[in-house]
Amino acid sequence: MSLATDSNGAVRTSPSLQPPAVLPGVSGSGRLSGTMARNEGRNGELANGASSASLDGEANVKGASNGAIRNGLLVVRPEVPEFFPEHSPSFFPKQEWAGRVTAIDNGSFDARLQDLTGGGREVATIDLEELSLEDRDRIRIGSLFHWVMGYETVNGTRSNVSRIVFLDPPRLTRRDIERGRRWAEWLHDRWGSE
Amino acid sequence: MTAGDLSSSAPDPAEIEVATLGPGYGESILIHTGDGEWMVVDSFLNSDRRPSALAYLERLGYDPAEAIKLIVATHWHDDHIRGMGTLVEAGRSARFCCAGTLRRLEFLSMIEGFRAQGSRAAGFGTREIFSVFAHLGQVGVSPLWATASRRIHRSPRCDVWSLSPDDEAYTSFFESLAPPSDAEPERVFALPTPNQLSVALLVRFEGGVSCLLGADLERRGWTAILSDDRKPRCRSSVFKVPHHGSANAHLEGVWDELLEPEPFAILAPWRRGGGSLPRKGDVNRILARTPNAYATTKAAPGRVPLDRWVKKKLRGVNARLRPEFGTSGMIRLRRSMTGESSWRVELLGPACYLQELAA
Repeated sequence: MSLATDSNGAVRTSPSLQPPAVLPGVSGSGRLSGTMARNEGRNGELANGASSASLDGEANVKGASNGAIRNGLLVVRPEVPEFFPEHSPSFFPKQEWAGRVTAIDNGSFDARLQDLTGGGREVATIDLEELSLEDRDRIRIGSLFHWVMGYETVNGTRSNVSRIVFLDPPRLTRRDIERGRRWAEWLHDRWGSE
Repeated sequence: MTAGDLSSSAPDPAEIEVATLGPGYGESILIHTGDGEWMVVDSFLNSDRRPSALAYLERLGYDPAEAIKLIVATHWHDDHIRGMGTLVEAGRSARFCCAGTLRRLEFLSMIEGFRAQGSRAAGFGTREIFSVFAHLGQVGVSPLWATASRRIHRSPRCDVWSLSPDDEAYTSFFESLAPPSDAEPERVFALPTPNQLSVALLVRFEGGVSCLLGADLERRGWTAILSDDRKPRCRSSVFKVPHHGSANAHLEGVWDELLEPEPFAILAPWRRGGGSLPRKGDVNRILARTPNAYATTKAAPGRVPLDRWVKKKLRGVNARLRPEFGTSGMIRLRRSMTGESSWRVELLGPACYLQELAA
């Protein structure tokens, strides 16, 4: 570890500022309700419960209904539900990620990724050209996707495949808003008139 | 004195500290307001997924539950709010402050609606602000609501003013929040960008020193601040440059009217994929106003360990990956509140002079 004062009087040090590691937040398994993924084509049949991942490692309650605050406890759904496609026998996956879109700009989109093959968390910038025309129209900030790379053998010919399968985009309905309003009014009641 | 001593030595009771942390995506500012009391502005997570502000205060030997008196979320973009829920729960003596616009039932209803969908529609930041509000609802403590020219905090040695958002930002934001109607009950809905609702802050200390923290407030918001006669009249010697140095947040009048000549300009860079702030032109523009300009990091993002086949394939599909968490640097400014004194600058980790970003 070094320490130096430069000619302008600023002191420079070189250690990392990372503190000692602490245990991350609670993470549990989530529950998938209904068919949530959209097949982009060749292999994308969906299998509920095939795997589990949470991009943020957040607490969740298995089997809990959405959006509930019970006895002051917040029930949180997993960030990435269990929607991973089953692969056909002709497909050999080499790398898989679960992703969530965080920004869309200038012909590309940013996403946070959970590495389902090697573990770890990453961020990615991906050209929109990698998506189908339909997906380019539907992609939104917050869209969830499964990204897989691997080999596929069709009629004896092996080819490299990179495939991004999106969930349907989220929809906020009047019912969502009305339910949210009850929570908002509860907050106002708790906070008083300040 | 060793570097370890330097980075873990707490300020004296009558010493101001302004510590700006940022790894290249995310920023958090901690200010010692005197007598062991701190305020924290914005939050990001370290690689161990813990709010950087908590880690820093604990390293200095403080108990965050006692030491933090004010927490401000300038807006709910991911790079400013990650870990805010944990931070607010840990800062049990602190008041939480955010834009007054967020108190509206329409906004609260929507963030609950998005949260119930797993936050997919609105991103991480909305979920984080939800968790803060849910906690404050449980404990029955209202946030402090920031508006233009409002004093939000007062202690024996300092007071803190919010300078934004102004009424026009408030109005235009809610005009864009039309909820789904009966005619289109399934309409895809997204919250508008919150930069226009950013909370810019003025922190004034005993002895006449002050700091201006620009959040991500863009030019229109600064124009409103300049024309607001109700704000405290003072010139700041420290300026947290707004919106990572972007040109869309620059206004010459801010430098002319709200800042001392050649102030200490601090900036947390922003990097996402191929995009980054500040750009070279931004660096040059800031350096034209002050030579005392610093950035929290110049380090390039690291590499993600991947199978060789996958790396090769990634090159073919126009995708660029990098680790989610970078190494945070820190710009630390300290000076005495009383008597003849000037700011002392410490650059820790990958923090650097701003001109190094243009090299």
